[in-house]
This record gives sequence, structure tokens and C-alpha cells, in this order.
Amino acid sequence: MKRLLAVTLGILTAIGGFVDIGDIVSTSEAGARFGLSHAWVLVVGVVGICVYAEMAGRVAAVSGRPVFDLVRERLGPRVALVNLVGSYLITVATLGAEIGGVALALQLLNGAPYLVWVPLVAVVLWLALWRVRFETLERVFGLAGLALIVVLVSAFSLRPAFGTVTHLTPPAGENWPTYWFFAIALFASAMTPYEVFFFSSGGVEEHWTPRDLNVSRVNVFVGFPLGGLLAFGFLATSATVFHPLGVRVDTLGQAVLPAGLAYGQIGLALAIVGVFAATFGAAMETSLSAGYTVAQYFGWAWGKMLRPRRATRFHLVVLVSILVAVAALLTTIDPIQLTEYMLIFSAIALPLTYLPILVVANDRGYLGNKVNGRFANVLGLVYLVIVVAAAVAAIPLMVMTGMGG
Amino acid sequence: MRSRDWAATAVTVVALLWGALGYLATRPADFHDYRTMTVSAAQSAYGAIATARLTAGARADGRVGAPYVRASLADARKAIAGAAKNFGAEGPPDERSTTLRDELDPLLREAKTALDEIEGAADGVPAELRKAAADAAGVAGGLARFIAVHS
Repeated sequence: MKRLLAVTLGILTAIGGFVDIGDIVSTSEAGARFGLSHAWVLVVGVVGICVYAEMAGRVAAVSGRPVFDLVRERLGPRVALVNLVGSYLITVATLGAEIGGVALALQLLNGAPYLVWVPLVAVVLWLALWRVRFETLERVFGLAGLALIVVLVSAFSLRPAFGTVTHLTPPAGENWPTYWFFAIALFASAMTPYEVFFFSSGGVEEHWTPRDLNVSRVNVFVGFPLGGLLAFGFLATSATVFHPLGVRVDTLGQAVLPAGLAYGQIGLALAIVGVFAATFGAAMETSLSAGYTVAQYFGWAWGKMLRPRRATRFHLVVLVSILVAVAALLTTIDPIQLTEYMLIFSAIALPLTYLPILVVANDRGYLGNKVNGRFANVLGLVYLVIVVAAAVAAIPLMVMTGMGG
Repeated sequence: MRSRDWAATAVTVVALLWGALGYLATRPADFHDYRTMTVSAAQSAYGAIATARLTAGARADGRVGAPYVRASLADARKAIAGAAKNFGAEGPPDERSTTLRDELDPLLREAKTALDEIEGAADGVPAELRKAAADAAGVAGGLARFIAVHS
């Protein structure tokens, strides 16, 4: 039973990390504009995050220390500072988008404008992180997020043209630069840096040891593919409902509508509740990740498991990050657009996250005989090349396509 | 390379980028820019109307609740208002652009009217809502044709 519950860490990471507001909207928009032709990107993204999350989980389980802590020690404070600044800015932008996503889900449930919900969501988020036990948060939001399965089931009942999954070219009216722009955004959403930092820090918080390596791997190889499958649900439903009409998807309301068309009010309510849970889960992860990275860099006491009094600076960073995210949202910036920009800038910062992880995962000083094997290194290097290519291409494609035009 | 040389190179690159961005941001729009802007506005309006029609149909069938409809139609209204604002912010640079403007302007107005009708019927009986959604088919078709011809 304990092992089973441990798996919820992976599910929470996957639901909150893989299916967040950006994934929901970017997969829905990609489905609406390109049909199922981007499905392969989700597969590439899932394998990539599995490869690196497995390394991060192994580092945490064997060394008992989170990845960011070791990155600073192994690569020095200067390199780690660049990593910290890039990761922190992207994580706070993501946090803003997630809080906006929770507020948008509440708007769909009761009709009140989302900006009214933003401060309330932020207060509840902070209180949850301050007062509620980690395991409780995992279980409640990880499992509630599974309501998104309704979107996947809807995808099958709406009968998408699965045969077009193998059409790896842009449809009529779209061009290659836009196709690749969306591919990079989808890939970046799968490999968002906060996911690995949260995953490895969560493992340390749960006191993983080398005996928990299998738990870590089950988390990775069940949780992340499940998240990818749910993201595919949004891609497929959007491809079925909106692509034939030539309608672009750029709101959360559009993304969940197919569940209502397939299963009526119950289907729609489940989809919205799932989105609420997933985005709230992602907001918790990003808040904690912001605190984890800063506290681990400066060597402060950190962790959700510690009493707040013993980790005051960690909790202060979490609080300040939430306040910055709320301030950004209250400027009336569209949370969806915020996420789209965040994904592209995240793509640029990906090498800063994944290269150090690969280096640490090959260090016998930390991992002994649990360092990467040949297979893990080959996959790690292949993904590093992909990540660097995505980082290099992101800005030119953003300019060429006018943010996907 | 010494640190002073690195700094000089970085400043030069930033200045060049800044200049290029400044030029791109301030250069006068030509027909191509205007056409891109009008097609983008038409796409926003078309997406909003088509989604509003789907939502209205689903509401008439009892498949979505009133709060969802309110939120969804508010998004549609925002999209059409945004499209109209972008469209109105830029004057046509030449005669061909003026033709485009004259073609899209009434469509955007019709889209707003059609959305008002759907919103007005949203809390009424399903038959009225279905009629409002059906009535919006004309403007949706017009916008779709505009996009197909000019993109």
C-alpha cells in the first residue's frame, strides 16, 4: 500500500507537470491547426522526460540529495547561478500561468471573471503549501487530476481520424515554420525544467534510498506516460472537433468543450475539475520548485516536510514567488499567452537544465555503481542534441511565425 | 579576447538587435502587412463565432451548463472585440488594402451582432438558441471565405 501511495508522487508530477495550462492549450491548438500530425512530438517528449526524470530520481535516491544541490557542487556556483536564474524565471512565469489556469477553470464552473479568482487561488495555494501535509496534497490533486481521463475517452468516442497520425506534414493552409514552432512548444511543455527539480526534491523529501529506485522508476515510467496520454486526449479531441471547422483554439473553454459534446454536462464537469486539479497541482509544484532551487543553491534549509519555522527562507521564496505570479496576472496579461511565451523561453533554457543532470548522473563520486549505463547515456546524449536544437531554433521560429501566427 | 573586447562585442550586438527591432516596429505597413493583419482579425472572429455556435448548439441540447456558456461567450466577445480593435487601429496603406478593409469591416460588425443574438438567446428556450446559432452560419461562412481567399 505504501508503495502504491508512493507512486502518486509520479502521478502528481505527471498530471501537474505534463498536463498543465500550457499543455492543455498548446496541445489543443496544435490539434485544431495540424490535426494529429504532432502526436509524434508527444511521444518524443514523454520519452525525453522519462530519460531525464529517471536520472534525477536515481541521483536523489542514491545520493540522498536533490539534483540542483549537486549541480551547484559539481559545476560550481557560477554555472549553477546561470541555471538558477533561467530556471527560476521560467518557473515563476509558469506559476503565474498555472494560477491563471486554476482561475480560468473556476470561471468555467461558475461564470465569474477569472481575475476575481486569482487572489483567492493564490491564498488557498499558499495556505495549502504552508499547512497541508505533502502526502495529502499529492493524493487529492494527483487523483482528482485523473478526471482528465474523460478527455481521453472523449477522444475515442468522437472518433478522430487516427490514420492521420502518420501524416507528419503540415496540412493545407499551414507552413513548415509554424509546424516546427508548435512542435518545439509541445516538446518544451513536456520537458519543463521544474518537473525534474520537483521530482528529485520530492524524492529527497520522501527519504528515498537506493532501495526505492524501483519506486522512482515506476513513478517515472507510469506517471509521465500517463500524463502524455492525457495530453494526447486534448490533441485528439481538438483535432476531431475544431480542425475540420478550421477553428483555432486559444481558450480553456474551447479545450474542454469536446468532453461536453461527447458526454454532456457530466463529461464537461469532469474535464473542468480535472483541469482545475491539474493546474492547481502544477501551481503547487512550480511554487515548491521555485523554493527548492533557490534554497538548494544558497544552501538553506528547505522542504515541505520541515516545519515552516525551520525553513523560513524556503517558505519566504515560495510566498514571494506566488506574489510575483499574482502581480503578473493582475496586470490582466492573458494566462494562455503568458504560457505560450513561457514555453518558448523554456525551450531556450532546456540545455541549462539537462546538461548538468547528465553530468551528475555520470559522476561515480555521487552515484557509485549506479551511474548511467551505456543505454541511458546514448538516450541522454540524443535528447541533449534535440534539446539544443530546440533551444537554437525557438527564437528564430518565434520571430518568423509571429508566435505561431 | 579580453573582457573589454567581449563587452564591446556584446554592446554592438545588442545595439544592432535593438536597431533592427526598432526598424521592424516602426516601418510603415504595406499591403502584405495589412493583409496579414486582416486575415488574422478574420480568423479570430471566425473562431469566436464558430465556437459560439458549437456552444449554443450544445447548450440547446442540454450538454453544457449556463456558467460554462457565459464564460465561453465572454471569451468569444473578447476575441471579436480584440479583432475589431486590431483591425481599426491600422488604416489601409493603398487601394488594394482599402478593398480588403471594405470587405472585412461589415463581416466583423455582423459577427458582433450574431454573437449578441446568441448571448441574448442563451438563457431562453432551446429553439431560440438554435435559431440564433443557425443565423450565425451566414457570417461564419463569410469569414471563412474571406480567410480562404486572402490567406
